[in-house]
Amino acid sequence: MGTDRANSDVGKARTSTSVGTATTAAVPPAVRPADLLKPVLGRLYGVAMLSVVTAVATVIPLLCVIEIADHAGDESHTRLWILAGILVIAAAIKGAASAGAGFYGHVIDNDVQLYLRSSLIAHIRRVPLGWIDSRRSSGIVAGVEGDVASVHHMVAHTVHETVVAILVPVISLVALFIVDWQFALIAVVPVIVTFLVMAVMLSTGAQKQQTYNRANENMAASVVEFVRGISVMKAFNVTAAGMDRYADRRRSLVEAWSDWSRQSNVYLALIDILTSPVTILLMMCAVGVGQTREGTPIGLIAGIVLGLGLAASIVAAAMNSEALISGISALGAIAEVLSTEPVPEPAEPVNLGGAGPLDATVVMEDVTFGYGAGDPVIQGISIEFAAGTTTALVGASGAGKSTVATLLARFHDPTTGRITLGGHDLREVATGDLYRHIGVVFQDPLLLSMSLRDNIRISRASATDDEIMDAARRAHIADDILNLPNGLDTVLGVEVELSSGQAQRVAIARAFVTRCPVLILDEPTAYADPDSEESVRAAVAELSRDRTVIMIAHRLSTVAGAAQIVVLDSGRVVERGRPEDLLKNVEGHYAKLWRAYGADAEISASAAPIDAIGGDGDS
Amino acid sequence: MIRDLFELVDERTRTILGRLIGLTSIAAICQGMAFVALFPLLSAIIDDDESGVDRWFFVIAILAAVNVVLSVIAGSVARSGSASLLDSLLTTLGQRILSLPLGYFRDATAGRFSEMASSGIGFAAAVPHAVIRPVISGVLTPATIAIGVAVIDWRVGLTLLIAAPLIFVAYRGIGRATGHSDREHTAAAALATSRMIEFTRCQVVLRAADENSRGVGLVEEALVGQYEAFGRATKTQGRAVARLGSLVQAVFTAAVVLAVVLAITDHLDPVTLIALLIVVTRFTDPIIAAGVLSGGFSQGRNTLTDLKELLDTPGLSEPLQPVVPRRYDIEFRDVSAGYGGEYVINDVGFTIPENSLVAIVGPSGSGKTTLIRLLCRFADPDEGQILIGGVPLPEIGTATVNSLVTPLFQDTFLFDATIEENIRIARPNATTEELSRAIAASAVESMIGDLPGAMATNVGEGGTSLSGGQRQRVALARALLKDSPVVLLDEPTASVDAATEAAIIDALFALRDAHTVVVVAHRLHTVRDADLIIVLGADGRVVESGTHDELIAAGGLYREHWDRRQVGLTPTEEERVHG
Repeated sequence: MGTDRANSDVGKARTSTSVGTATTAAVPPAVRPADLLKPVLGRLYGVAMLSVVTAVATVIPLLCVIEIADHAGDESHTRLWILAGILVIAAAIKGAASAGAGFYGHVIDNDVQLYLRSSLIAHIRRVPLGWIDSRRSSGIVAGVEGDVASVHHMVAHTVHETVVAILVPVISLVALFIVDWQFALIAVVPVIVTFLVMAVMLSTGAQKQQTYNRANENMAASVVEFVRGISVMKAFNVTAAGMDRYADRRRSLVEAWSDWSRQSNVYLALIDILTSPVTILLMMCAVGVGQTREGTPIGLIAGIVLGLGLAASIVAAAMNSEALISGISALGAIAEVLSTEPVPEPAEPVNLGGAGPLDATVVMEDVTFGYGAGDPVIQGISIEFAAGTTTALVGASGAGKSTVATLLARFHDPTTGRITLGGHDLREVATGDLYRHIGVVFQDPLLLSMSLRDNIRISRASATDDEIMDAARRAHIADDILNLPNGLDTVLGVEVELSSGQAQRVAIARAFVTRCPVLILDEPTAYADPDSEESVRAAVAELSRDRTVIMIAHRLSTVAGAAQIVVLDSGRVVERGRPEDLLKNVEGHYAKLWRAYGADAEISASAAPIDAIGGDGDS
Repeated sequence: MIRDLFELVDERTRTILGRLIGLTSIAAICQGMAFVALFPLLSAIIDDDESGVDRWFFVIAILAAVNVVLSVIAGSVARSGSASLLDSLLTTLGQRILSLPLGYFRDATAGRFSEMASSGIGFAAAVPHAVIRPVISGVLTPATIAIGVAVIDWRVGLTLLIAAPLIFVAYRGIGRATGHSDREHTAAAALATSRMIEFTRCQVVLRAADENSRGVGLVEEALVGQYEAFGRATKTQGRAVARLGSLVQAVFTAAVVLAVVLAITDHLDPVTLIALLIVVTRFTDPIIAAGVLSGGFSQGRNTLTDLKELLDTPGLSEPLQPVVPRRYDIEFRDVSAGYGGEYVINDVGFTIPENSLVAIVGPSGSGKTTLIRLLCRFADPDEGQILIGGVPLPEIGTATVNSLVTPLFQDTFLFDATIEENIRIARPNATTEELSRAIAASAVESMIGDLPGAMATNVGEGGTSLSGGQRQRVALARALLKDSPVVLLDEPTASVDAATEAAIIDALFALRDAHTVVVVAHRLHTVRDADLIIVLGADGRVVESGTHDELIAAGGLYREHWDRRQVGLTPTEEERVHG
């Protein structure tokens, strides 16, 4: 039963392909860590059962050995045969149960991994684009993957190992106690003392560990600096200074490490002594020798057989508990990611394509927006982007251009105010419908690793090759495609690496196929390689015809052809109008920008293109 | 892995590690012997032989004492070994960064080395106490016990001794079996991860996607692929691990059963049986302990392999007696070079006369930057030669080349210091006048006004407090201050506006009176007045060369690009540059 439920849940996650047309009005409840394991909980108990069997079957042979020793001198050998037989069978059961638990654990783990990843994917489909945008996608995935690895360790290994590592000593100790309590004490007391010593060591060492961690971070940074600067250092013959700085950090690190370990030396030496099997053996022999009894010293034998492995077992349990803790916290982290509130989808979405041709006017009505609880980044923005015209957003870095652009692309919803397309609030439009009407071309062209054909027609799978090539021609990329040996079949990232300008033009061809009436651009020519600049410029111009275009401008030469310029400063609109009109106002913002930057210089304090719109910093 | 470690560390560390191995070995053997000594002790107890009991208890006590003392010392030695290891490996890394040819460093190198320095080497440093000690104990203690047991009863002893090669083979078997399916799984996992990243990154596009489009199902396909590959790997690895586990079990069981059988058939006395049973029971502990740690090996091992690869990377050949050229004309003779298997520049040959300004132009990917890198000896070309003043670069030696040739690349790096300090590293004892000239010529002067701290403005780590254009100008000032006979510039005016560009170009042309200047240019109008223009084609070959007028007349690739550029240029830009 547990299996079926697990399979069906996994299967559901595996095949769910709802793509942005979800119309769930209610926000699903936050995900709890325990929920994530629910599909496999039954099976995990199965693993635990196998672990219990393993533990018991581990101790039985030991008990047999003790019994054999006790009856070694017997006249009748029947008992010995039986004990030997039990021992062999128990050992075989242990082997089978242990292997089974291990294998089964991995199988369950595989299902859990798929389930977690599928859940992540399903959730990513629904979260606000702004949430994704503010984190690097590689970071999001890496974070979840790291957590999945911890969960993997917990499910596949730790559950079984922990149960065994706890049960075996417990059963052994109980048995030993029954045989001879003195040896039980000798076996267990050093272990308890060891834990106390470790606790003290860890707490007193915490600060030194922190110092070490910091030194480690500094070392890593120092390496980066050294590597990045090495060519400059060589060019200007200042390598000595660089080496010195590196050596300094190195010495600090080694010192921090030594300091930390020196402090633990005493404690670790103590633990070494306490947990050494020979020490325990000696103590047991001492007691065994001291006991006056006739015949076989069963207590001593039981002590050695059952008690000696105790320390190692319990230490293993402690190590496993660490893995258990990090597995649980990893589940918590994943649950948190999965609890991110999804974009509220309208219960009854407006159909943009429905009632006749869409008026492609976009209006921002008194929009204010800020991230989280902080100060608003833009305030009281009211702009009308007339249908079929191009508006350029201009302003220094941090002025709010990118925020306006991302709000228009519904990366976030405004805190107050609203944004409308053809009179409809963006929030009333279903996601899929929205993005088929509002196209986006940002710095990262967002091409997938599949054929050019599939990339270009991604929003309309029924587009014919003719339509695709027509779009390519208008995007000035047709020749490049024809020059490729496999043409439209060429798989990006595998068979070819496009230059940034070529990739931009493919994205533009895609926008043509989508036939979106509104376009939001982050000046594509700014990111194109120099050879492509011309073609990209021409493609953008073509794409801008008869569309409502909102473009973030980085260079004033791009802006000159726009119907409307909107100048932003500190989150507010400070100037707007036609370029020629604005220039006449010599003291105005726009005119000042022209004087400061000229036609070509990038209008930003830092050279990095607008803060990560739609792309990774490392793409 | 231990072998790699010994190769990589310095003498001092090797001594410490050697000492550690010695101490641990003796301690392990003592431990084994203490267990073997149980035999006579148990016999004595059972036979009520008091003096025997005393004697053997004493022996065990001594062995225990020795073992404990040596263990404690070994622990301390292990820790100092780790510190020494840390120091030694980091020093090696630093030395390699310094001595590797600059061409070795690619974009990801800084991150890779940093990862090595922080976590990789950290894992490697744990090797003494996390690997060496348990492994040695895991081998020597059972070996000692097995030999001891063999002395007492050769049959049971033999059983234990046979176990060793069998376990070893099974252990290796795990490695081999998992090797292939592991690779398959790793590839599937990597694909799934990259698809997930792609999926996340491209959400804006995917939300507009048609249900039937290919892109929609890619990530799920990859996840299922990973699921299936992992399933296969689990089965294969599971089988191999089970084999190992059951082998260890089987050895123990066989030894015990054999002892019992021998006792029952009266080939073994009861006391020996008891003692044997006990000792065999504890025989497998150290083996299992060593096996458990095998997981931790791999991270440390990978770092050591990486470091070894660094050590083995060949450096450039340096001359014993560097030849210093007297003239500064440059010649490329049949030079071909590239990365991986592909040549980026092919059969390139040209001469740049002394005291001239030469431009290299061509489409992206034509190898222009590679030419510059070769000229400052980041690497030697795969074929052909580069000569300055008639002397091949390998005979001049990298150090001298560094002093004669100053490059200015597009990705500039500044140190976390003030603008003035950054410029002054070129020539610390330059006069104020020389500094002013460099600042003026590089148009740093005009940008100072906008900065609150002027020349004392701190540029941040790597120079990131400045814009790209500002960084470039500072780097240019630095290059100019160095005043080396040869100056190489890769797109020096890429991020500046037209007015600044004109000023910089003027300064560069002024340089050619006393310097050999090579400029890689994309904006053809900036280098129209160059003494020589070398045009590279997309395949990395020299397509044509000559002065601007000659090339225009020739009507080839240059002419084509020139005509196209003219269309894009606004009248004001043209005016500004050419007056």
